[in-house]
Amino acid sequence: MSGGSDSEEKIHMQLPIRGGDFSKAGEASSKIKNILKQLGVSPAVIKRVAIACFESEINIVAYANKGQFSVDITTGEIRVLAKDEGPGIECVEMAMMEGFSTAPPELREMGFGAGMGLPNIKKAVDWIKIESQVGVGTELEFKILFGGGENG
Amino acid sequence: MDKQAVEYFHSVRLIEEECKGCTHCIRTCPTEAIRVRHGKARIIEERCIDCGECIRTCPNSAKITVTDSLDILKEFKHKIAIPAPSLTGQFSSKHTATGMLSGFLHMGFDDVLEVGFGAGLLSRAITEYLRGAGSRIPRPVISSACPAVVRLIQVRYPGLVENILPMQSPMEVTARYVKERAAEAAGLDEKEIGVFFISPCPAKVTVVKQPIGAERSYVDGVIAAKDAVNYIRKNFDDIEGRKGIQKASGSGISWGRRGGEVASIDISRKLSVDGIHHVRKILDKVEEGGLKKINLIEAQACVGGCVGGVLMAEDPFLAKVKIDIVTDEIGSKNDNRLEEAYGRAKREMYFLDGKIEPRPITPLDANVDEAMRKLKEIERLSEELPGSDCGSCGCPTCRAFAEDVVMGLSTPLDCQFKMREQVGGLAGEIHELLKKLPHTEWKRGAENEDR
Repeated sequence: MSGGSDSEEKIHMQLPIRGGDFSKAGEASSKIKNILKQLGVSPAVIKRVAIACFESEINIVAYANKGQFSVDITTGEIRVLAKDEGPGIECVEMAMMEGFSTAPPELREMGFGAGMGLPNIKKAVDWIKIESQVGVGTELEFKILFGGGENG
Repeated sequence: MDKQAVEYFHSVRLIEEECKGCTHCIRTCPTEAIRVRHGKARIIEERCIDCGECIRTCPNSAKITVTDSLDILKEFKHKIAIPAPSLTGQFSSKHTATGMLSGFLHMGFDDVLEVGFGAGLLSRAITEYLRGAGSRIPRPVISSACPAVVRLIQVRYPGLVENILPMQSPMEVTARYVKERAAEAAGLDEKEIGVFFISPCPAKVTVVKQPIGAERSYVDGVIAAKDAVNYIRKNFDDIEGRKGIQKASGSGISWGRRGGEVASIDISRKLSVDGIHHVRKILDKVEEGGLKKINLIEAQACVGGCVGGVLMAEDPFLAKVKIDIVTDEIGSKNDNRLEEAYGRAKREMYFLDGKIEPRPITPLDANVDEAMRKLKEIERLSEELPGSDCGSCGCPTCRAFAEDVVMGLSTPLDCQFKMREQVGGLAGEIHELLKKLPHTEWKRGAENEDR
């Protein structure tokens, strides 16, 4: 069956995420997680992908009106672009600091807004890029290598 | 390691003659381990966790648990019954705890010790461990008491294996305790002593035959709780109560229902969840990095905890009330005895002597490139399918069917909708062919058409 070509297989997915709907939060991350399990990616790497995806998804659900994941999977890595139409982040450096949060009290009461979202994503991934424009939205892109060790 | 070569023992089986090929079980199976093939529900062994959901849901009683019959008692010189804590909830108020336990002597056992006794010891050991050396285990720690949940983690959440409490179950603690004590007291070889667990569920049967994270099981046979309950209820008037036979503490017995375990362990921030589908939701959260502030999760596959096991005779909600009544009555009566036993027992008896290994489901292909190709094919095929999850192909969902087709386990035409499309296409073709007249008919046909 092998065609002998050395072209790498790629998978691309677009997963829409609805803002404000906490009951559905985690569905996109769950889908990505299950696909990686089927591909035989190691449990340790899947855990990191799950954490990064879930935190990104929650950020969109908690703060934005709507957003989506663009996911690209190759044999060696997963790249996720989480793009939202939301308030944007005023100061990305501050947001990357542990414990810094702009979450309103209602959100904190639900167990969110501990200021660990972006720091946790950063810890889980091998590469990260954030671009944000206040009043327009945020683009968070990250990459996790499948062959990587425990920490990126 | 060649995964294909590993053979798994399962206590959940199918009685072929009884199976009507309906689709109840394929839908409720939490690991999508069942397919209807040639009219019968087949279990995919590497995925089955022996939780018993299919037994519960089968309207034709075609799914059963393989347990030992009482005949196995003959193989041992000294026989000890260790009934699960949940057994306490299976009787009416007429059947006292002492009477119920003495029933095992009537049945032919030489001795009885409630697993609630071992649960009481274990509660203390877990408290001690989680406050000390066990503080290094990643949070949340997940209890190892329910073997169906442990297997679910091995198969579906392999990344969470390190969160599992590396300790024995109350059943194993009780079995080892009672066997070592009996060997000492009666001067018998351990081989001559048979310890029999009176079980609420099939997962316990499996874990005895195939221990997880341990070299061996101290249990020699497993008897279905309902068999024991039926025997004791039927013979109750002839059973002579033996004084002092009830040794478990109230909190130990409460392990038989959801919440009993976490209540008996003295640490903060505990969560208890029951019902395999809810357990999956909680494990999903843990896998996504959540619930880190929870110290211990008691997760039970059955609704209500062990009282909800498929080998039970009583309704789980009624059984819970009965357990609560009995534990209230016992109160702190047996606590001194427990404290003394805990002081004497070796600490090692509480810990698993091996590692719990992840057992992830086989990926689509060992070659990642090929696995990706197959995954794309699955996505493509899923799009074409109706998405109604009708089940007539024998798979739980259209997505699972697409996976089976790509893996070569089903063919596209096993889908009734695809089949109808194909038949429709063929019918159209036939219709077109019928319009083509033979030459001998042509003239008349043409004339007819003119008229």
